[in-house]
Amino acid sequence: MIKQDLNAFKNLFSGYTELRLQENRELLLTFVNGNNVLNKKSVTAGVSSRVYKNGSWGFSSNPVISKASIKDVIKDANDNACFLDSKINKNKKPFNNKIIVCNNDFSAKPNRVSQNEINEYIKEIDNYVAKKYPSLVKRSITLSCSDIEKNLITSAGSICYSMTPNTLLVIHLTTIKDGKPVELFEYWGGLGQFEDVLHNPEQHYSDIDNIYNELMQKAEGEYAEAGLNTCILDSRLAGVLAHEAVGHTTEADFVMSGSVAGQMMSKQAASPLITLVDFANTAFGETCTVPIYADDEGTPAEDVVIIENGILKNYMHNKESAQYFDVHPKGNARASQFSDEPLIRMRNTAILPGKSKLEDMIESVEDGYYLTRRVNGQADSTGEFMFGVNMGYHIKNGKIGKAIKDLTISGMAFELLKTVDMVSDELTWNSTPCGKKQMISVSMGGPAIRCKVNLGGR
Amino acid sequence: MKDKDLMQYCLDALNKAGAEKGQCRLAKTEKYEINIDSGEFSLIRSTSSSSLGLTAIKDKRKGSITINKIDNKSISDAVIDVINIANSSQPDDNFDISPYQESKVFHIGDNKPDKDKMFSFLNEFKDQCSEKFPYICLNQVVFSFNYTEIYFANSNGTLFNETKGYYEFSSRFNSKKDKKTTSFNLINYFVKELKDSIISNAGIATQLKQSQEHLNAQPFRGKFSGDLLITPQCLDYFIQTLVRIGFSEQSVFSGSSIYINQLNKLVASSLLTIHSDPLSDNIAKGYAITPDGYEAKNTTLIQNGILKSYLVSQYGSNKTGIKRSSSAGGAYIIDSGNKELLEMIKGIKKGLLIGRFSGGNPTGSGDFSGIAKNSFYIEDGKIQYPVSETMISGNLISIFKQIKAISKERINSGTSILPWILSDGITISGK
Repeated sequence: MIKQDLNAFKNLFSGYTELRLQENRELLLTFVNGNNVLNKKSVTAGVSSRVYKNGSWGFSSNPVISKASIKDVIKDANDNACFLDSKINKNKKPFNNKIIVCNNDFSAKPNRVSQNEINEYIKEIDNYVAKKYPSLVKRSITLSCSDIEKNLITSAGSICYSMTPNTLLVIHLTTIKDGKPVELFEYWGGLGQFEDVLHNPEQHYSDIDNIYNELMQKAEGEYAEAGLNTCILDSRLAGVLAHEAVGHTTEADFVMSGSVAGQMMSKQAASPLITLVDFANTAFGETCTVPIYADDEGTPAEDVVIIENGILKNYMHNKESAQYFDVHPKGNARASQFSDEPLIRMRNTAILPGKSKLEDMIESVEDGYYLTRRVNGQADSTGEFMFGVNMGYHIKNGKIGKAIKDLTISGMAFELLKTVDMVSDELTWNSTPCGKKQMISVSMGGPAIRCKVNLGGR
Repeated sequence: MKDKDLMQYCLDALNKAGAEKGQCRLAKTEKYEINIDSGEFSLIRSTSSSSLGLTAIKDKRKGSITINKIDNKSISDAVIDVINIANSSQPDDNFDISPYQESKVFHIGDNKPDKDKMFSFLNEFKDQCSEKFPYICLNQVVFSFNYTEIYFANSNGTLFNETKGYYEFSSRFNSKKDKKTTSFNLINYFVKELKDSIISNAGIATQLKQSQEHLNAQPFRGKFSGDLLITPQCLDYFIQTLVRIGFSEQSVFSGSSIYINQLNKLVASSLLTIHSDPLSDNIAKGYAITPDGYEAKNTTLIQNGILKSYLVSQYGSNKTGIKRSSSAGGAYIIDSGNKELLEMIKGIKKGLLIGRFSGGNPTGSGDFSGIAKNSFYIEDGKIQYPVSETMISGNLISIFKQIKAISKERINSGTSILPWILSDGITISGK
């Protein structure tokens, strides 16, 4: 249904036009304390079109995919663009388009596992946790499998098909300490369908044991000291710095709305130890979790080097912002569902590894914190960012000490990055949904870094 | 096939495929949306969407599927899928569907957008921002009309029909003057019909004015324990978090709720009364049918500090023995207090007026820490200056236990009606 030849509709295009068929398929399975509270599939498919008239966009979508509905959405998108153009008449120039023809299918092999086998896999993990750790007040295991299939044609000549699956397993453990719940979670997964990502329930057991042990340490943990502290951010959470602290402020739409990064182009924005890249599809020879070969405007995807050796080099663009800044776009315009228009979004954003060893970095801290796991985060136009930390330890005289309770860390992104004086030689990727009008998958990565950061302790 | 007939068609198909109990829900939505990006009109978007949810219970096993196609082939495939999902699930005696209820039709709001009026309202808002608040940058504004028709039916004979139309305005904005940039702030409100200008709704003019004042924000120096005056916009986030960790089904039936075994006991300040009123005339984006298939009713969660109801569905109720709540949450209304906002500020010795909280998701214990965004330092009964780079930490449960005053004034966002709340014992720390 999605993979079909759309060339026949090109004669209906007038002016710059995109036509996209898309299907999002999702499986959600949740066990809470052994109860299968959620067992649900969803399929959302449809057609959309977007038309550009002199600086005004029109968009339309329909869940029915047929010749008639495709004609209707092209016409409605054109009507919407004309209506807006008639009201505001921006009189902007047409785009200078780069085009691409591509086909990127990451589907699993033909012999797919059954729904029953998937449920048994999750039940086996649940049984392991239930038997080994009966004192937990809550154990929650969630499996989320999503397939996103897109077929795009543009009036400029791009024709792009992609099928991008993602599988995520989340285990959430809760204990009670002094009458209050204490929680910790871990997740596994990445690019691929279930059978390509999760192979054997036993592969998770040692990690589950680690989460349980860390949870017990946190239950006995203390509050961190509020204020500015020297911290080692583990590679598991440093990626969020790349995404939240810097990435969002360098999205061109944020820049055009007054983001602090607007005044920093070609200036020192970070320590010379910092190089930050938004990878399109391949990093260090491996396919990224969110591989984008062409974006939803039909632009060929390229890596964007945002910061190079501390100097701010590039923003991330769609066609319109690239025209405004007189550069060429590199494939950052992405849409979540068929009914969504493309927005400037990150893809796989990472701080590149350095040369230090994590052990040396910890030993170098006289009094500070080692922060190891994180939850949600948020950026701001000022460059001030925050993210929640749900696991960490006090460091005293170079030695890891007591665990600390959950807290939030914050700082001014570019000031914080200037305090970075050690960068480890490792790199950890993780993926997460990111919300900006639409929820979309992104991945983020980084090494461990030593920096000064503000802790929201007590 | 008419949508109403489609419900019976789906129930029959589920029955034929072996479901002992079946439930279906069809929602069709038309959306018309005008966007402003980086201060300029950018996009008009019109979308049609449909969502058909099928649930089957067979041998005490349950499966659910949602598709967005309603042709016979898609429904047949979905029925096979949902039976397979049910067959693969864990059996549970507590799975059920709602009992027979008399058929009802519910209707709220307009059924078609006034497109020209929407454009002129938004254009007027843009012009008023430029004239009255020249340093405001409208990063992203979305003004939409949404019309949804819902059918709900189950094999016990319940059939509900709900139609609702509402306008939604949302904006992310900040201020910029020369090289100074402020934090962004958010506006989000819903109305059933277009009557008053955008800027006169939901405290918007105050938020825009305060954003400009933040061009002169100063980092707060030092650390103290003091009062926190929470705006309605910020309170909305705290209430939703309180519901997640204290009232939600998962927290209640797993036993991790901070309010477990506290029904009819004092859990908050006696000044606090919280309702979940999806049927209130004053709530533009309410609902008439709950996800578990009951006619929704207004519900009081906390009455004068006493816990009156959790938010558990039929399944949660069967599982725990706790009474099912008649509301499915949302549409939160907090009763007005007896003090005017200015009077509340005058009573603060040292504290913070918080406009937006940006922090890590509070834990199940209610502990939280994060940045006080769009906030002002208060000392000796006066707002002193806007602050930047200021963090707060405390415990959410304690905030609602230690309420010192609730304002007479409230803000109606169309999904909630909330006052300003003054509490104490918050750690406020700066550089």
